[in-house]
Amino acid sequence: MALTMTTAASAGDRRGRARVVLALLGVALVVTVLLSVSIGPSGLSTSEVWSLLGDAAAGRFDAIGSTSHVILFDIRLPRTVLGALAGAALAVAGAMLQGLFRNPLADPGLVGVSSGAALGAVLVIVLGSALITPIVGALRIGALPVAAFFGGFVTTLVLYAIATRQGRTSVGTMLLAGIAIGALAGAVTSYMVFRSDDLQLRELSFWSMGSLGGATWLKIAIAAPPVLLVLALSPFIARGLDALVLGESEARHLGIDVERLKTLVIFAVALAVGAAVAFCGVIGFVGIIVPHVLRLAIGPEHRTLLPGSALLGAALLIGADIVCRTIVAPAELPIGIVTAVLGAPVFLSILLRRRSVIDL
Amino acid sequence: MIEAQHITVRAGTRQLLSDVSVAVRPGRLTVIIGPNGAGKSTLMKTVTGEIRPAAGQVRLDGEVIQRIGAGRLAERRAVLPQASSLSFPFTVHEVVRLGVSRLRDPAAVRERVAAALGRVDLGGFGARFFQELSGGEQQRVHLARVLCQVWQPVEDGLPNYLFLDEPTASLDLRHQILILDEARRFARAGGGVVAILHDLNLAALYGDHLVVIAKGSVAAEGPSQQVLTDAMLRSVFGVSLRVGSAPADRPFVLPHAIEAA
Repeated sequence: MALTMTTAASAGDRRGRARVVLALLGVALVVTVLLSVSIGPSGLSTSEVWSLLGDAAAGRFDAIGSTSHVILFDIRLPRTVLGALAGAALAVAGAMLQGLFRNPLADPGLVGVSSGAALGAVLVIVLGSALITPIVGALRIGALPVAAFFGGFVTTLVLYAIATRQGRTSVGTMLLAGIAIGALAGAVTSYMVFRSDDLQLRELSFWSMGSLGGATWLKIAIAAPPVLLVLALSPFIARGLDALVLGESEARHLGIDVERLKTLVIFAVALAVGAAVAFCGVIGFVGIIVPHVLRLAIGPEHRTLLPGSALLGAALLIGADIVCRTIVAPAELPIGIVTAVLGAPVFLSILLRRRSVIDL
Repeated sequence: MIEAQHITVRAGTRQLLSDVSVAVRPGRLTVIIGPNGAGKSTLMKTVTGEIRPAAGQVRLDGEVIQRIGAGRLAERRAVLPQASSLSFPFTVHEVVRLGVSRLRDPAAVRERVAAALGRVDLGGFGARFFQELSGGEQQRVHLARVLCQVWQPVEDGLPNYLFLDEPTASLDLRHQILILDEARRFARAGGGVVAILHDLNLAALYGDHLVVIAKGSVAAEGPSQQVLTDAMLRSVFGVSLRVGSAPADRPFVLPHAIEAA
């Protein structure tokens, strides 16, 4: 009797299942990371990778300076870590943005937030060297995410102001405004490309489709703090976003300081997207695929959705990068191609299953 | 006690409420009635702190409501919205749990959610998806959520308050009675309840105190015997009806006669 009572009371409570899924995602992430550092065109064998990793874990660095060591610790590992950071950032930003707009179709890439962030970064690359030459390398690398953050922040603010009236968000307006803002940012970006020199052009071309190539520990050191800050913020945002699903007044009645929540979410989204875009370019659809799949598996509660999105987003982007590096080796596919191929069908399937999410 | 003192609310140049003073006393069920567009919902939104009046003040136990933080206010009063849709597939259990406050132990939270669902006659609905329920069932899920938010009518000697904006709008007769019984129980136990109702019979049956709103002002208030008069119906609702007389030639149903089965 006691058992049936408990079962009845817990019916519809998906937190237990969510915990299991989160643990599995953690395992999946570790596996993907190990795969990612073991695979590459250089012919560094898996067993070599393992022994190098084992040595490092044991505090032995005999192989420092050897080609294998450089490949593993200065190329593959930073690339993998950057992928994990960017994937987690984009997926969490997507989940937060969708909570803010109360709609599963809000993706930082689709609604122009990424374009805004990219514009910020492009301005630094092109104008930065023209105006303040010579900027020290590290300073310039630091200016990138700051500019990307402001680009993303301004875009999200403008988007929210346009799409939300009296606490109701019009999804049609949101998507269309996102297209317009994206196009505007894209136009300015194109103009910057037009007036850039060859060196800048090489750097810029990478924004269009995104890439994890060129990852360094310095970039990670700069990208990690904002991403980790957003992840640390997410438990405090989670209950507010859950309440916001009911509507702004209902959230307020439930004790949420809605204005503060919105500011915090916009800030966090800009921070996460800015960090990801600054060093990986514009990678679309991660923010849509990951939360959508997770909602099917563990439900839409943000206190499990946000950490789940971080784990799955990291694993997904590392996985996509593995595909990019191997499918046309020794050449590399831009990672945005892979995420778009995965993500566009997900987007369309949401549309087909729930046409009501677009109340134009 | 929650008091609205001389509140005036404007939207643009239109005056939605002008110089309205009402008191929400604990221990009684206050029912707001009035024609469409009279300002009933505006009054409720102002009294719950959602709208800031252009003039006048709303005070909870003497403290101006706008000065009370959202979190602290939520511990004292819960508001049942008229209708609220969800854009993500929450289960009924998860929606109700949003209202649970002050409980940390997961087992206790689950029991609370189940108990609240039982009170609104939705026992066993926990695993259903909210979006797939009928309008009336969704309304009752929200009521269960709101009940969770102010589970104790009186806490630490302070009364809590329930605000229900047309709680019976999409309910069948049995559930209208069930919900209002629940509201009355809350008031009898020492909490304060305010409900906007359209059905004057239900208002007369359940309201300890009726407030009639017409054209943004209080047209009458008091116990139903005093307030529900032929003259009031004519002047406020614009209908010539007789209070207390049954139609002679056709059957009619009064909730007074129904037993909630």
